[in-house]
Amino acid sequence: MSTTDMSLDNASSTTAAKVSPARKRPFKWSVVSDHLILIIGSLFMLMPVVAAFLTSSHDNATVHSGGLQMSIGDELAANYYNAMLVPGGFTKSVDGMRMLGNSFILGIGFAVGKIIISMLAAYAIVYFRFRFATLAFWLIFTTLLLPLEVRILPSYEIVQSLGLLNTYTGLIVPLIASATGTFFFRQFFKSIPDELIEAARIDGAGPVKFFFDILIPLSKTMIAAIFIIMFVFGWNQYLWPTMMTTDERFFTLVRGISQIMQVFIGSQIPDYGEAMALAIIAMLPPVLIVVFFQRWFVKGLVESDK
Amino acid sequence: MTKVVIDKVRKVYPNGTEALSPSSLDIAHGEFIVLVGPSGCGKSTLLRMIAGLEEITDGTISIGDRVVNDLDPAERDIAMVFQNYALYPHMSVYQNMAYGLKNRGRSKPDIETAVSKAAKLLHIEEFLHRRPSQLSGGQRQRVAMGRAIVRDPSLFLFDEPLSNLDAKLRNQMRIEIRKLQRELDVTSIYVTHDQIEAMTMADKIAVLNTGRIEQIGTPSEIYHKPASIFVASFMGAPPMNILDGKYNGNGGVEVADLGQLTIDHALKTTGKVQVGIRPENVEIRTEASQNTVAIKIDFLEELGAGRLLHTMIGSTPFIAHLDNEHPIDSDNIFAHLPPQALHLFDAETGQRV
Repeated sequence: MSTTDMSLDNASSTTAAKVSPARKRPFKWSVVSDHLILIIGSLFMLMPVVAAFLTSSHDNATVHSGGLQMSIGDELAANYYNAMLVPGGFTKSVDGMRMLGNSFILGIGFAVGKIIISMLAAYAIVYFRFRFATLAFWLIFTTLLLPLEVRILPSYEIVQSLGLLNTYTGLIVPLIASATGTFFFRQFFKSIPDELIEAARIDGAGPVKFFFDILIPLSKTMIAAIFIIMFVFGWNQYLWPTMMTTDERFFTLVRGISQIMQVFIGSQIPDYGEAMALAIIAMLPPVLIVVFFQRWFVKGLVESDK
Repeated sequence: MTKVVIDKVRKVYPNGTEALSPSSLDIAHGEFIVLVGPSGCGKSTLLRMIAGLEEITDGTISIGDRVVNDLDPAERDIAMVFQNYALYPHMSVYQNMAYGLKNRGRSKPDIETAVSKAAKLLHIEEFLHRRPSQLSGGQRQRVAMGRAIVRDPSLFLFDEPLSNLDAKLRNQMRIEIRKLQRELDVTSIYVTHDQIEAMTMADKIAVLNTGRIEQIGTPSEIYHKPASIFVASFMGAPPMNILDGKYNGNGGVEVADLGQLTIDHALKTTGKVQVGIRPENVEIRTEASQNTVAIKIDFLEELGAGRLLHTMIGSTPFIAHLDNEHPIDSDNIFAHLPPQALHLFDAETGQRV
């Protein structure tokens, strides 16, 4: 009863607060300057994308002589068609669709792999007492500071000696151990009340059942958040795929774009239009993933009452 | 028939602190026993050891005929109600109640019968398909109870289950839990820091303080014959008045700022004692006689059914619980401390003498 009363009170007071200042809200210059800053910021972020899109509608010669284009050209359909559906590259065996597929395999494999590995690692660190658990955690945590580039030579060496060059396994597996993910899941698991675990123990749920029946459903929002971050991160991987894949059939979109730009053979002009088209295409899935999961993420946040 | 025997159980945490010194407690079948004490007294530790959530350092706990020291919580045939309810937030009420049964491999129709029976008993049938987040505190409390009784355990454990509810609901749930427990005839152990809950619900109370059981007894024994000064001051609201005094060996106690008090039995101790009297046992007189002291009214607290008179004897606060019928002449009043209502404790050991 008391809670409904309170929410009613709140509701009426907020509507009252909304109505009265709306009539005679004093004009504030700070509102204008706030918006100005926001608009400049947005333009700053949007202009390169707009420029890339507009440039992708011109032919290569125009772009080569005139630089980035700020008007819509007449080669839009052709550029996208060529980029996506006409096999190109040195071997003429790979088109944009194939690269798109490869990027998806890398992005999803990377994100899913990272979620599985880091959830299991965090589960062990948080819920099991074993020797040197804290040390193990700090070891994992400090590797957060080390970027992939630091260990890229040894990693390459291992993958190469296992014969995994030019395979999806070699592309994904060496990257899926994640200190960031482990850390996020650890913090999240620590926020789950102990009483829930104790109730589960009394209800006869062992470690495996607890993990699948309680922990995973409770982590849904966390999984969504990590999936967004990791998918985008994996999708944008450049250095590792560049080293790993010499076979064009395993090229990702990001890798493919750079390949197009690097064909200064004789007097050949790079396919600027196609490269821009690929760049626009490459941008779309991460944007869609973020938009799609964002809704899911917020919904989860609102409903959860842990 | 489930009796619980706690035999010299002790708990030492890995960092060396002793949360519970060796304690023993016998609980008969169907008994409702309340462990009460201030926070940090070891009551929750003891309950958690019975549940199997905490290792037992020394001693044995048996439930029914089995020593359960090395059994998993799930194998002990117990159910526990937590302070924060500990409902699984992602499951419906039905799933919450069914989860334990499912893990025990019970068949679907079996589970359905058990859940609907428990739901009916607790009047939560209409919520079965809601999530815990859509329920009020009282409803969640019922669901937590439901999850416990649906399993038909041989022992109920309650860990301060009512402390998150508002006062009115708490009174109501107190009665309901007690009724339900009688109906189901299941041995129960209930932990609380609220002495009113302990008094009203228990068949037997164990009062704990700093890791020790101070006294075990019926609510009436605990209230009327407290074994130590701690029990005397912990149980009862407003608390017992305590005055410092000295036993002079001839049937009287010398109390500072009050004078000579006659007592009704000889004490085995000599020297310093503490004298306790419950506020409702203090009588107000208009003239001095034996065992009276002149008092000044500092403050009168109206309770409706009675009044609380606050005063000071020397520098010690003193409260008398009065009825509404007798008007008080504020100029000329005396507090009478009847000898048979005095509780006497050794000032050094705190034990009743």
